[in-house]
Amino acid sequence: MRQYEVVFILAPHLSEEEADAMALAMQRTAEKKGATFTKVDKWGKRRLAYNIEKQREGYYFLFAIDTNPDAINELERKFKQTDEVIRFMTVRTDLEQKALAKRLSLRQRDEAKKAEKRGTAQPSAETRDRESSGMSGGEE
Amino acid sequence: MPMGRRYAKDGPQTGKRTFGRRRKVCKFCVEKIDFIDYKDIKLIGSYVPERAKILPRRISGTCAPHQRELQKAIKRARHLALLPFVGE
Repeated sequence: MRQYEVVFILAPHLSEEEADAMALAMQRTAEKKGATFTKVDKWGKRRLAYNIEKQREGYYFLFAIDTNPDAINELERKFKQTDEVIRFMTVRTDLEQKALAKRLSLRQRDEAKKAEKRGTAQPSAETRDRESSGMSGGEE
Repeated sequence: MPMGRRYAKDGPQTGKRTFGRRRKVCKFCVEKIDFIDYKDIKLIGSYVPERAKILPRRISGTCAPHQRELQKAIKRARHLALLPFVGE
């Protein structure tokens, strides 16, 4: 199982309902291939930074998907077929998440070491603070 | 001509010139941002000035690993038309 993030942009001439329906249809095709959606985010109509297919705006959608590559291939095939999809991008996120977790743990270890050097009373409180602040990394 | 360079208040230290400018530090290291998200345009956008070019490390002071991450995020954001390829 891999984790992906898929962002795609739908043409602005659609009504909001049509855009939603289309996004849902995309979701269904992926689900048929065995994908599980962890997040479906609708950013709504946004101004594009540059024109795509002569359009200045577009409906943005974000999918976070847990799946095997098959469903992604199918989804991308569908995107290419559909004219209303003016742009899409798939990013594999599980590797990035793994790297991030590693970096976090490394830093926690480093900081624990540093704290140890500084003295014994202070650090224990500090590390506890960091753990409670969780994934965000925490600020001093 | 000494281009904008000046000695620190207490003058040159041990033969080495100290410049009035503050040493730049990597924002991502200081704020402990490990993952630079392409969706976070507010953050990334500050590294893409008017002309829409990526701000070089020499100017922003970003460290090499973070500049690489930043570069990736900016390029992804550009593909999704969140950031421009060319500015005004």
